[in-house]
Amino acid sequence: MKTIFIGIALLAMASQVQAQSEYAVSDIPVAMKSRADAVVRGEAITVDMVTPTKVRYHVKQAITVFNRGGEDKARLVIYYDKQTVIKQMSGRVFDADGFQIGKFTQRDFKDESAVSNFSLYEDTRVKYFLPAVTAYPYTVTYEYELELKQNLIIPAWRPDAYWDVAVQHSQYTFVCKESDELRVSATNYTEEPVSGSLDGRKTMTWTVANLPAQRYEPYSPDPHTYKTTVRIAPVDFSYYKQEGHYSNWEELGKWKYQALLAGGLKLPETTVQTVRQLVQGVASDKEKAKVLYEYLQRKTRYVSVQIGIGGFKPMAASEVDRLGYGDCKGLVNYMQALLAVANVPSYYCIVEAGNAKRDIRPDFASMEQGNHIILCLPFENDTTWLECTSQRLPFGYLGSFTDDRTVWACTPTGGRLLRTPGYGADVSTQHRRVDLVLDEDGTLSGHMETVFTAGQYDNHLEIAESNGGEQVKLLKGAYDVDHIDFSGIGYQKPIGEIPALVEAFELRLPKYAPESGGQVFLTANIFNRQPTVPTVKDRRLPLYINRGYTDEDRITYTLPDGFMAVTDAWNEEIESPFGQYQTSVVQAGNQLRYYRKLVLNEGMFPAARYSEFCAFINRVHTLDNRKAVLAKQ
Amino acid sequence: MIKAYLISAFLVLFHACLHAQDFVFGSLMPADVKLAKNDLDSSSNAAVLNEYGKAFMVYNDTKGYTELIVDYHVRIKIFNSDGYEHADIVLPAYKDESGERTDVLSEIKAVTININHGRVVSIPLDKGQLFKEEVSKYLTNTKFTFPSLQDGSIIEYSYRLVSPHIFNFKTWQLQDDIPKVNSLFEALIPGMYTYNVILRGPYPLDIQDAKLKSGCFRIAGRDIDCSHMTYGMKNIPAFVEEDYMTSAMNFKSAIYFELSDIYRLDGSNIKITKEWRNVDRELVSHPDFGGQMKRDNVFKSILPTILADASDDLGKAKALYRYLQRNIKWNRYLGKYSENNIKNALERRSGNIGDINLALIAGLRAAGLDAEAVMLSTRDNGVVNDIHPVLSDFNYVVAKVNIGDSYYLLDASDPFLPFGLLPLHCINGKARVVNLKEPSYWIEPKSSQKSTTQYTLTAELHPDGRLTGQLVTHSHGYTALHKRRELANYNTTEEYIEHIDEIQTGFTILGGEIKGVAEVEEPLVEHYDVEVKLYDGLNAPELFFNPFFINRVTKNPFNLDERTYPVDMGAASEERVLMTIKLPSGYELKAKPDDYNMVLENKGGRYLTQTQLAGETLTFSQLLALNHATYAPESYFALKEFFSRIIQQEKIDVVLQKTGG
Repeated sequence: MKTIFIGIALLAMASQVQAQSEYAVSDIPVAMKSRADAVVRGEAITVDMVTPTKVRYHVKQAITVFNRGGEDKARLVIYYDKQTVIKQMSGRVFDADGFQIGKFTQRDFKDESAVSNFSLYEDTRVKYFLPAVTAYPYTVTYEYELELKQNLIIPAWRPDAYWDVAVQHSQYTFVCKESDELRVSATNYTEEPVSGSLDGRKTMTWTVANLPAQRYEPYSPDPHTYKTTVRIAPVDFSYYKQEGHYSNWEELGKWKYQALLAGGLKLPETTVQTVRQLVQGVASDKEKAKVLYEYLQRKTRYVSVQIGIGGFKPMAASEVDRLGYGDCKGLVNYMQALLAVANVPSYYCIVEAGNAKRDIRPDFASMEQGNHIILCLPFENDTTWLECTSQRLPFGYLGSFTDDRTVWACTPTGGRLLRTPGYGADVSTQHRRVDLVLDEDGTLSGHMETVFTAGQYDNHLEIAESNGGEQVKLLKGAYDVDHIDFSGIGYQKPIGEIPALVEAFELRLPKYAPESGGQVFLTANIFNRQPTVPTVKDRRLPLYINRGYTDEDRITYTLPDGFMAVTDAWNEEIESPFGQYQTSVVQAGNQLRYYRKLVLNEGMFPAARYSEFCAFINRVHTLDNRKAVLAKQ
Repeated sequence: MIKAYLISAFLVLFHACLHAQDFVFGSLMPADVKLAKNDLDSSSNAAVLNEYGKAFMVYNDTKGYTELIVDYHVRIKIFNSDGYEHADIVLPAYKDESGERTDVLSEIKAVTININHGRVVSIPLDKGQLFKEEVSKYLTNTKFTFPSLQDGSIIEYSYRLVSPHIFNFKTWQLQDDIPKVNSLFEALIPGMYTYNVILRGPYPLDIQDAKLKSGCFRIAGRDIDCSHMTYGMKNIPAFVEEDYMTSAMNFKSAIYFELSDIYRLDGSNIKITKEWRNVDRELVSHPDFGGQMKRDNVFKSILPTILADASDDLGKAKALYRYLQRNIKWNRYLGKYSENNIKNALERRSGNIGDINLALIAGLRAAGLDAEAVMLSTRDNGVVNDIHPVLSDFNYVVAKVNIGDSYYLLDASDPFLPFGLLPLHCINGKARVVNLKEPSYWIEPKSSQKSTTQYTLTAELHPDGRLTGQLVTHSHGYTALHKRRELANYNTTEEYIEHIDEIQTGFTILGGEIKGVAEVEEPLVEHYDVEVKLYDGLNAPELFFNPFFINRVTKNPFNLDERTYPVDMGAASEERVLMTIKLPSGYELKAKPDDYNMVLENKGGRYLTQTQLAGETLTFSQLLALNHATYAPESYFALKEFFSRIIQQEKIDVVLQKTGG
């Protein structure tokens, strides 16, 4: 009985979408066409939680594609796995006037494995279809239904996820039993959802309309902070035959620890003995952890395999021990097991990794947040963090992949939120000192040393850890000057409070400074030229600088006998809210000394200040490319 | 029952003698342990220590066809963690369309061998860590990686592949992207099969041997003798890829087989590799090839509309080409055969390359034009065998229309291609022209248009240090094609110009317009009003100005010490810059880049610059021409030097000096 009523409700919604128009492109308001490669004419998503192990996800969408750039949005791509069953999918294609020119069904879809490029194996598959239409614009309507066999992760609603797609109308409806407890998080959605009831079951509906397409703006904040998202988390859930109950991070962390983590920490006796030997006589817990971290780095490497519940449940420590590899979960879990033998406590932490600093949402616990695992060692007043998938990072260092953000720790006593450390612009430095001799034919040769610290520590870490030809290739990429030649390459990691990497080598730049008409042209700043930033007219979004730093370059040129600079010495300084810059060239005897310093400040600034930021950066660009002209006296 | 038993007994026997030349699994030689990274070349992070393969054939009575059996065994040394990627193994198994005949992998064995403090430790592959990925209907990958890797690990694996695909026997890849110390391959080919064998690549074989092996193939109760071929190479360098090359397959050392004849037990002979005249007949009568070319009736009803405005043959050809470009969308599948038949493709407005271009040929023929089919192999598919007809080498078809004394090669799969220009992926050595009546013949398709770009800047330098003016860019050939494809991603040219303004750094675009977007036969012309802030002010007694700010070459595309394969750019190219800049009064030219005129041997290329000041007008011109589509390996150093000098030249400024007033 109930299902019939829902069926009717869906139909009602469906016909509402259809009745809006017959998809003639002329009906689209002008404002919806601006900057849009495609327009969502109408979208109705209904999530019907029949039981915790049966959730119907029904989507009906009509989308008009304006040009080749919008083609991707006309492609229907559906991922599925053992917990996600495709019940039905079909669609129709309409021309610019709204007349139907084709239709397609499940038969027309291609089916392929969907193993992501960083994985050896995953059990996810994909079905996809792109209609063949030669003339733009055209419209595609889709209807499909998935059955989710779990309710731990309910697909979130992100109606305006794409920059270049306008949305005329989109709605998201959640249907469940009156008695079902839910938690809801709506970001950038100001209204209350419309509540209703349907045959004794409750419904909630969110709607957006007339959202124009936008243009991508450089140096803008993380889209998650200003785009609409609705997430729903049922309090009682079922996932791969595991059942649980949570309404906050603490409870979810407790469940996760007990259901997925606690059972996999046992190590084989031989490894237990090895660990005991390794830490024997080592005084502090921190020192012990360091010894074991180095053991982990020697013994293991990152290999990703994701099957079923293994997407959340780490491979057992004994398996990692035997295979010598694992994914982030497996390696963190293994490290925890090693530490446990030495009685050093640690927390398994879920983080949203990436260059953008994205927090785990403190106000809303849900399982789908985060995409990476790191390890926290809660030493008193000295919390230490470990990235367990890298053979390269030093003990206690998190790179820009996971720094400065809120993470979720799963502990035996429950979940809790912690924050990873970040480094400011003042300590994240890159200091470079170069001594070069200029030949009469314009060739430069000499020595260079660069020290990378804190936030910039990992700039050249990959190069430092690579070998032979690969290292030279990477260096040539980093110092992109024609025909640059390196020798005596060496790297050091001085031990100190702040991680630092020292890079040193001899270099040669054949014919770097060409001669013409008795003058030699030398672009004094060889290695660190600021690229320009586009001057965006009508900036809409705030200016956001994700990460601050300080760069300092000193280059001394020893000139051939009798050569002098004919251009004047310069010394320019710029102060701005976004940072400061200084550049100078002076001649002292037979030497030309170049100096450059750029400090970029982290922070958020109003959109109106973007043009000022552009002016600052583009001025730096101009000054970075300034030439010194030399001539024989 | 008895038969099956006999065969398996035979297999066991066979297997016993199979290891005659194979190296023993898991048993290291002192040289394996000793080999260090720099013994081969300094840039490789892993090396093949030894590789052995044996391929032979067995008649499968149950299935009723002959299968190819390949036993493969390799030992690799991983020098450091950068070499770990060579421990990720993917073994493909193909299935044919019907899904009945499929490759079967078995006996996968893998082990990591580490030497810890002088002790040899072997860690075998865990069978639970062997994954089968069903990539698509036709392909299943078996994937695994090796456990417990460390610097210096030796990894070793072997498997047996039983395959119904005997046409290419087993291609033996001698050269790879890591060096190999030793590679040995044995091929046992029953007397009833004859294969053409080709060795590709620059290196000679170290071992090449042919023997007779009696009774090694059993079919219908009879024993048949085999040719026992052995091929070996030692110390094979790694293959290094660089820009501007066609498929690496064309250049890597490998042994290729292709089936030419099958002699049946009754004495009859099936010719597999045929003469072109036989292939011609087959193609012409093939329902998905010649059969489609002949379907001019499909066009009967629409032809008058298509040809309404066409007066002569060229006009008709162009009208048909346009029609197909606009009415069938390429479904991204290649193929020389029509997949959906041309009638369906026209109705559904979607098709593969075969559908689109065979439809074009049918249409051209319907219009009374002389049209032929040109089969070719795309650049990433490797070059075709020009000694024997090997149909499987060809993966693409285009149309050739002969009008008067000229001909045009046409590919209607891309709406932005001008008439007569083939896309770059089709320019790949020889192609075979198939005619419905005449014998087929070879041609070598070339790009019919140079890729040219001409920049014309007319500007004025203002006393406040701003340079303003108009930049007009004319693009032809592939350059225009790329720009039109990019333009198709935008709703309006304004949005495209905005994008161009954002990505280029030399100047700011204040406004502009683009002509010829839809007229693909015409050059694409971009008019931009530009502004460059050159100076803060013009107070200094001397002004330095770099005239090479449009499309400056900053990086040499050629950086190898040696290149064993040609540089292939696909088309000749030409880039011209012409600037006329009006200066504020009172300046004279103090210094300028020397006027430069550099040529490459055999008229291969030219680089030319010229600067002069006449009154208050500074003019600057530059030409960079690469006149050949391909350059032989011998020209590599000249080309490298050519670019190196251009980079030097483009660093030099014009120096203007204030005159007294």
